Amino acid sequence: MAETIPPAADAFLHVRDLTKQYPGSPRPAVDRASFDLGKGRMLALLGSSGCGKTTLLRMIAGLVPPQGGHVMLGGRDMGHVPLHQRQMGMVFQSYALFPHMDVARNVGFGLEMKGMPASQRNAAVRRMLELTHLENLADRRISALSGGQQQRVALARALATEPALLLLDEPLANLDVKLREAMRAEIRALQKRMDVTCLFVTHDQDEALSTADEIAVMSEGVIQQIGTPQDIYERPANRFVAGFIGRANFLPALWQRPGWAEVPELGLLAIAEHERWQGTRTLMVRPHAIRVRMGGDMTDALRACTGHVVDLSYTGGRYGCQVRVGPYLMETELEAGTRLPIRGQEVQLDWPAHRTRVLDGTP
Amino acid sequence: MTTRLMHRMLLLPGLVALVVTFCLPVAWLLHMSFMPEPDSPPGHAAISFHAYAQVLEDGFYWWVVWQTVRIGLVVTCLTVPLSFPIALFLSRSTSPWRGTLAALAVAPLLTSTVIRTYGWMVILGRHGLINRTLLGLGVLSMPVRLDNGTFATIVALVEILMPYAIISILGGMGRLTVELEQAAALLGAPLWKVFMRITVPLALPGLLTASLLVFVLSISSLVTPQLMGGGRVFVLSTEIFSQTTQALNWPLAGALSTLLLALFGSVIVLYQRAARRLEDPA
Repeated sequence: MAETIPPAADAFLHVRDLTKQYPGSPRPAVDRASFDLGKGRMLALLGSSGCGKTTLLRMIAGLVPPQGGHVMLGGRDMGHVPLHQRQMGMVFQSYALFPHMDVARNVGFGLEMKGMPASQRNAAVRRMLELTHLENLADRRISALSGGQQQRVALARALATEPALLLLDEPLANLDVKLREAMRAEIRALQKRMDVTCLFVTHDQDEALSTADEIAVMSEGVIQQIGTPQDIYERPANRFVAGFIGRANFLPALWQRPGWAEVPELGLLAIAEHERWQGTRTLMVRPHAIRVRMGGDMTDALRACTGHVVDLSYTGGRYGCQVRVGPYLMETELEAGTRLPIRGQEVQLDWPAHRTRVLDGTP
Repeated sequence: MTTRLMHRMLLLPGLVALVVTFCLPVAWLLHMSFMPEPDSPPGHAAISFHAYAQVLEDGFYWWVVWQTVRIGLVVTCLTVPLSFPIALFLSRSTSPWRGTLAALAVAPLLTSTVIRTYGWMVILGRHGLINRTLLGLGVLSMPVRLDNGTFATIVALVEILMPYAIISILGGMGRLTVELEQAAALLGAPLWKVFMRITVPLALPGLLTASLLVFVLSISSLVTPQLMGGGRVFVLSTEIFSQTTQALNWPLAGALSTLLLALFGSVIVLYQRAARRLEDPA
């Protein structure tokens, strides 16, 4: 077992080996999750439902007791800190707004608990309501608000106490697509403006890629990879991450000689010179990296694979084009406005060697 | 049009049952209360306010009404707070035993009130469980009187009415979720503040319904005050009972019953005002 790694020097939130197994479950919901997050940074916990991301968030919040591991926030061990002293703001997926209080009372609740005098509190609440564009709704009852407004109230309430850490549990899941994109930008802007360290759980990769500074991809209770959105997308650590984020083609390959790999029933493909391995591994190519050529010259024959168009579908601005190459079905992309192949037409696919990523394991 | 007619037709059986089993008996009761004295000479006025005059003039009946309300209030103030933690526990429990526990909590309803009242007589009696234990331990040298009185009546009523309270509280906690309490705690509220600011206000509809139900059931109970009171507890129901079965003064019993009904009515009006306040505090 790996020894415990000390926190990074600039880590504000430090999570080590957090583990939780629910009784009667065959595997841990979260298995030794570790990461560090710098102050003012935003990390997305990304994964499909049941991957353990919400359990991990709830353990950090103190709502679920972990079976192992620890959480440190700003150098303080949070192990035995009770909920009301953790200084964490949380937006629940259900928003958990107090139905018996109006908007202003909800937003001011945390400050009231802190013992802030009413006059000062009112000013702080007004400021929060302005920041979240809720100033006209201060006296509204919660049940009289739309989903988007409730979302804002939940955010304003969580931020009003200026928490050390902001936790968001699928905050946008209950909103429609348009609103979700607007709120995404708004949350990000607010988080930056208040310089609050933030952790948010999502199953939406677009949300994670566009909003977060860093992404932790989770599957089956394990953090598969942590990195910047670019890292995760361009340099996935394994087959799972590559398949989960964006669309990708996977081909089994044996290393042949420097710069070349052999794909069974397809032939040789160019790879980066430095790659070297034994046995079968997986080559990954993103659809947009592939060039589709029709009846072109075959000067680059070695590098190109030839196949037939199986399907062509318009996806708004571009076409998705499926090409059967030997036993493999390759996803490619074509810009709208370029010359398009027809179904059954023979095409050549080629892509630069450096766009091929070698992953552990078979596809 | 036809569907509307159908809907109204569907109401008919219930309406008939209500008229036959409730409206007619109440009308008859009212009629009875305006009858002349049992031993008044025949040919006297058909309608007489004699029974009401007797109730209003006799200080004893005022005292009985006060006793009834007082016991009802004390029982309500004990039953609802005692039932609240049980209802909270049942609503929170995720244990596989939850169903069993919930069934156990309301299981007393399966036995008759008479049996349960006798059970309390066994416990509270002069030679009952408590006295024997305290005597055996040497805490007491003489048995104390726990049975036959207001104390015993209240104890038994609280226990008998708790299942009703638990069910009503459980039914009225729809808006209260664990997440709301967690949210309050994360916002800096210590446990007792979470309880006072979130748990209680959101459980209030259930608590209110439970209070109404327990109060009404306790002021209308007959068997328990009769048996546990040992003839020392005088409430409206016991008075009505003795007027119908022993004194055979049915007009008086009718007037007392009308008084009890008026009491119910005013409690329900108060309850509805409070409930409306809860729904719209503004």
